[in-house]
Amino acid sequence: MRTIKFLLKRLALSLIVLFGLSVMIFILGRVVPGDPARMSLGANAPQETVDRMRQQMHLDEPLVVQYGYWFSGIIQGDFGKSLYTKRPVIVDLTEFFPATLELVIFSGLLMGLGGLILGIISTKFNNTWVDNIIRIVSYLGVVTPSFVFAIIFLLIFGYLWPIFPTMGRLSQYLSFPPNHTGLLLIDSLIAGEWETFWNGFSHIILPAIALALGGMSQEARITRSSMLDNMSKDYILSHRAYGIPEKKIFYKYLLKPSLIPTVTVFGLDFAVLFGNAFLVEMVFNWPGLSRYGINVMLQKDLNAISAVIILLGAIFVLMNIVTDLVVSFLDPRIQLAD
Amino acid sequence: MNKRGKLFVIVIAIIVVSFLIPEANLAYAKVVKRDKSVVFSAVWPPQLDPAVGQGFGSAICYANIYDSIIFPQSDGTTTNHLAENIIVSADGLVYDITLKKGVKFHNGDELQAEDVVFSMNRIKTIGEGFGYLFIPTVKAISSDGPYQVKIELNKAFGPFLATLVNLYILNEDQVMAHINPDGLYGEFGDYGKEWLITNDAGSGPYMVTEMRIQEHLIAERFVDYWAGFDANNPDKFIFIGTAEPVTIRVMMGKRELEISDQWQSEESFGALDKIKGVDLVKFLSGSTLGIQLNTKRAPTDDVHVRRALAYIMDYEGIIKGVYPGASRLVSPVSLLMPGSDPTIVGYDTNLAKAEAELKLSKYYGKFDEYPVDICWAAEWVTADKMALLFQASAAKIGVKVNIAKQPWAKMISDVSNMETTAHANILTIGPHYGEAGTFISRYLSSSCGTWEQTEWLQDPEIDQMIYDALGTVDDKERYKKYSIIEHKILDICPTIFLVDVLEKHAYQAEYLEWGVAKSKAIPVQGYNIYMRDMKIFPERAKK
Repeated sequence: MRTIKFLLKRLALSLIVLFGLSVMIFILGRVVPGDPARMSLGANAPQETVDRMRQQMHLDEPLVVQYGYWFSGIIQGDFGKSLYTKRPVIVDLTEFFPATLELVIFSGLLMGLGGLILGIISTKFNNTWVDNIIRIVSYLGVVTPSFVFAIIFLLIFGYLWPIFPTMGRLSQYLSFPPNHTGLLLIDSLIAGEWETFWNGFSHIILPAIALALGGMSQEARITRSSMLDNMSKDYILSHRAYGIPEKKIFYKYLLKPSLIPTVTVFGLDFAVLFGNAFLVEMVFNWPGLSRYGINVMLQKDLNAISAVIILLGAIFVLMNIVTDLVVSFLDPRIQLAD
Repeated sequence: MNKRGKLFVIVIAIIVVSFLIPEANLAYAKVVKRDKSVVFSAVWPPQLDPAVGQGFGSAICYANIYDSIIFPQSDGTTTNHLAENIIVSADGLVYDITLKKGVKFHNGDELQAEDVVFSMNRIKTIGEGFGYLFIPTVKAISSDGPYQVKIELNKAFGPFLATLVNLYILNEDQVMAHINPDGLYGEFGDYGKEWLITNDAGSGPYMVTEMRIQEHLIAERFVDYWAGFDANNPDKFIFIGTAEPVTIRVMMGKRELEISDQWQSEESFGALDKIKGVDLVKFLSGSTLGIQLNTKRAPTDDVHVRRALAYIMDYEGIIKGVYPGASRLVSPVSLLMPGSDPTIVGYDTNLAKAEAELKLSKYYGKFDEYPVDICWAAEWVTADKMALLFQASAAKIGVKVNIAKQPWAKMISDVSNMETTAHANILTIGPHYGEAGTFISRYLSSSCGTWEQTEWLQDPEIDQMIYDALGTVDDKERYKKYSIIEHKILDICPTIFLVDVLEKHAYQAEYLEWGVAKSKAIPVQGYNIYMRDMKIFPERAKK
């Protein structure tokens, strides 16, 4: 009951946050100089054509009226038309978001599991050469932007030792499986197309690792420091005094509470992956939402910009709620309602 | 098992997995065979609808997927393409076009006069893309039988034939079968715009087989193409949109990309040139680069200041340091264009002349009060160097220059108003059609307020001269008039002309024969990446 109450409260607050975000992004998009219609149509387009587009986009109306049109459209799932692709923005989101989502899920898994495993190993072999290596590698991972990893991987595994495909989601000689989820790997499994699955899997490896390494290093460092911190706590000492086996103490009584900071940071890092994916998507020609977001910003494509930011905002909000839920599960003393 | 043993097992497992995945991927490498396809990278995304797009990427698609009535040549002239012959009335107001028979669209329909009429009316109604070329000039278009088209103009327009290169013919029946009735164009619904985002309705040598926005466009040979193919023309082309230098380098190195985009940095082109089998091809693109001076704001409203700035500019520095290998531009018109005057001598770097001009200026001795702002699009990195060169050059004669780069969107907004247009704007101007008039006509007052004319010239005499020249049907006569206008513009110096822009690409010279690498380029956007002008020999590609 408490969880449901918490969820409802957070969802209501999230709606307010998203509404605030929508107002902010709407105003920012309009005050930035540059006529989107003129930019889209070119210097020589007849004024009537420009005016017609401005009228279509309601750019000739007062800001409040514009916002009214825009907001009522959003509620109905209509984000307007993109000046970049000339299609309804919702069609673009439906096509590009799953590509990024698949990449981010894969990266998130690598980031979470990798960070956790490295953190545990590092704690277990505290102050040995294993720990030192993991710590040094983690420092490097944290300070290196993901696009640098992307470029390094591309050069090594795409060029010097060309064992991975480097472009897009699927080789051009294969066709995409029937679209059920938009996630290529899942769709190819549903369709039983193993070659497509494997090809898609080999395409996602390099961008996913490049994207995951920063967060993975962060999780590893946090897990390690949190576990080491808890290791000297009284309850661990009392467990030892009771003669509970070391392995059980480590995995059952030490790991679980130590995961709280890791999970909190993981939740934020996971959401950040959507933003960080941009350069990785550029390097690997990955047809995802992050790349789309940057392209539409360069074109001052107001409808598309707003839709991308609202979507990313919703993901952040959602991840925060999920993180809170997981943390409360890990440590029931943390009161959700508070 | 002790700790070390477990650790050993984990390390071994990681190594085995890391080798297994690549090994399995070798299968991928074996499957990708070197077929007769040409993969190239350019500005993305292209618009497949010829009534909507006009950018470089779109123009490449139109040249390869659609046919036009006439076709541009490398010497700047045009030849009949879909037209069997064209008769122009003596007053230049009526064009009677006889179409070739037996030309088929990609769906097998025959291309007829009604399709030409439909395509012209469609582009005029939509008003986007190259529509601006036809809206002011074409009064009416009609068909007389299946192969006769008559175009009537509002007023004589000398370069009209050159503009017809950009009228691409769509299959009326096919487009009308795919209209969305909820469109803006009455009985024509959306005029098929939605469908044409990912499909084509053309008759050109290649037909679209897959368009994935943000990924690639794949087009294959149209086997029934009326003009036929050489056996070694590409079977298909794949157009991708990435311009990331590392990605381009890796793809060129792996022979996965035949032609790079033109936007790579000099360093990146240098690295590409070092790849075995890869060469660089450079040709004049037909675009011009210059610094446009606002003639209505102090101090650049003074012709002597403008001339002084033109005389002090370090042209050699631009060509050596910024655009290696480029040709110097001395007048408004690219030398590639028919109608350009090769005898014109422009401004050269001359400190003495610059100082002399400056002394004649009403602002002489007051340049602390009248600094010159120079602006360019922040997204254009190369322009930084040019702005700094301009600043350094101007400092030699005591003119203070403020660097004021802006995001492109802000720049467009600023140049729409005379007062907010910077004193100097670095801009590249591309041709709209393959004739000198395209560059001359940008000095018309009607172009003010756009990034095509930030000079705010607004000179009624020049307007009249330009209208008169454009209305002259006889080519030689018109070119003479262009030359007079060019001299006049040079005299009042609204623009510092810098370079005739070179287009540069890296390509797989080992197994790709590309026409422009051997001969002169075609001065119309898109036609230099024309697949029928290429021959590919996959067997020559070394592993």
